Amino acid sequence: MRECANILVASRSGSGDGEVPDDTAEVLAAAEALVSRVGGKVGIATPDGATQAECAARLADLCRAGSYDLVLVPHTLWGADVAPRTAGILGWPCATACSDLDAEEEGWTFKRRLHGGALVGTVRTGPAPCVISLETSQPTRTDSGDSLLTAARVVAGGRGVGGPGGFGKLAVLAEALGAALASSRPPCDAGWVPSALQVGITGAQVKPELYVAVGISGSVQHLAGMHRAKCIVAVNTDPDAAIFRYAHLGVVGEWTEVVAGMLDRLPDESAEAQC
Amino acid sequence: MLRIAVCAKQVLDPEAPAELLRVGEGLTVTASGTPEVLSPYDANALKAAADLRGEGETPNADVTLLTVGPRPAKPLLLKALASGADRVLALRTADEVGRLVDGLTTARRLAALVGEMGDCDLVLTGRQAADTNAGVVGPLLAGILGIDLVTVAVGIRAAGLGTVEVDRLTEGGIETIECGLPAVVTVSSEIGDPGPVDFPALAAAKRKPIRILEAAELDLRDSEADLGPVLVDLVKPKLERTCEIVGGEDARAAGRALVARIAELSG
Ligand SMILES: Cc1cc2nc3c(=O)[nH]c(=O)nc-3n(C[C@H](O)[C@H](O)[C@H](O)COP(=O)(O)OP(=O)(O)OC[C@H]3O[C@@H](n4cnc5c(N)ncnc54)[C@H](O)[C@@H]3O)c2cc1C
Repeated sequence: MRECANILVASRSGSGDGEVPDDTAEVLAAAEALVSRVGGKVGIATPDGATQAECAARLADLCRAGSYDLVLVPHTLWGADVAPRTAGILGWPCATACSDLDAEEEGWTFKRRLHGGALVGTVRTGPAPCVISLETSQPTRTDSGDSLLTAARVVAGGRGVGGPGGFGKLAVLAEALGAALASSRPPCDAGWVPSALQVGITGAQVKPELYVAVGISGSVQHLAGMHRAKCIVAVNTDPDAAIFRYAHLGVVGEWTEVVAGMLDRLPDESAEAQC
Repeated sequence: MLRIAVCAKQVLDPEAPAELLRVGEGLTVTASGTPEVLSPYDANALKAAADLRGEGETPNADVTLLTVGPRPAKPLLLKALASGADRVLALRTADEVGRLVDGLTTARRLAALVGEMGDCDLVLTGRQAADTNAGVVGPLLAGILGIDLVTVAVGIRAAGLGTVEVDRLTEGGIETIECGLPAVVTVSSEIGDPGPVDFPALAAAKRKPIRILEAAELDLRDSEADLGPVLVDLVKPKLERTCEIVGGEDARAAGRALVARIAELSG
């Protein structure tokens, strides 16, 4: 068993007063749990206001000076950049989007999703130092002012919604349900909606009470961002669409019709928003 | 002229149904009937390179496709050449069971290929591979080469001499930065993909050079690979559940019934 861990936890700074953001607090807790078992120390660095390049250079300096042998970063867009960037400077291996970090033999073990989330791998490192970004229970993207990540209800559209106009109609449903609007990747790629709305392995990972997937086929990559929702509802014309294997509730049908029916039964604000 | 390297990995088509994936002996992953493709974000990088290059007699850039792996597939390489690459430089490696997760070794090999190119101003690659979903090779490569790095680009334009302008996705939205060259830029899908290729482009591709190097031809210290992370287990999580299909006289009626069922289930 590994006998000592000198861990440097890195994050962007929180709201001030030395507070760290919630995602970093989770990474810090994981680091402290490891050190309480195998011994060693935990340092924290919040390279403030700097570019990602400056952050990584500073972290690399800290590693050399403080003889750290494990750098932990929360797996946000920021962390997904800074972790391998720091590893690149140090010439260390790097693993991203990891969970279940533990000590084993001379190194560490952790889990990570492969093939878009269709498979989960267990990975073991050797004795060499490394940089790891950890998934946390916090939403993975924090685009400013966006309610998607904390929303209790989400209405998401896919390629099947057909265009920006379709998303306009979907926004009415979202409003009626008190839900945030989201998207699979193709509508973002096509510019129908901003990239900030993308849910999935390369977008936001959300955990709402209700997730309504409209015109979304149910690829593993999309699923990776929403399968933890309490109630998944699918609306799709194709009865064989994969989404029906992951949803709790489904309607097979033309989405504009189904959504019109839903709006028939939803509170009046929606009717006002509609016209 | 801008010298561009595009690093592209060959992977099982990630758009194929996930239930076809099988974990075999030595944790190798197979999917029967599923073709290999260039990892989609790497194809986006190729598209970005092709756009910088432009068409016609006097291209603005020269594009070399770099790939590392056990089975470089001629049809995929030809397609890349038809999509805007001027040549292919591939490194054939031994099959690497369990090494699926070691981006550092891959980055070192790509660095050797970049060295083989001679001059290189801009290295483009996908923001992450479709199989490992790691996103480490581009940044590690920048570190090894000691050059600048920009991640998750959604737009790249040639700017003044020795610079490119990059739109990148950040937590605060899209920001535009000037990036001095040489640099590594990782590319996201918003850039677009190369799309289908036509016959004339394929015919022209057949006249472009494909050079496949064996590992022994490059001065690579493979022993360092032993330090990297190794995959020790690989399982298929169970994500499926039974879906209750809500019906009605027509789709609109089903929509009305759906609202009632949602209320019962999720409150
Ligand atoms: C490395 C990698 C990362 C990726 N990351 C992500 C990610 O983070 N998020 C993501 O979403 N994707 C991601 N993808 C893409 C993913 O593989 C799929 O291509 C994508 O999720 C498909 O989006 P979709 O379901 O909207 O489109 P499609 O698969 O085209 O599905 C459209 C659906 O709409 C239905 N439809 C059509 N018309 C109607 C109608 N009138 N009414 C009702 N239904 C209709 C169709 O039956 C179909 O099922 C990634 C891919 C790769 C390779």
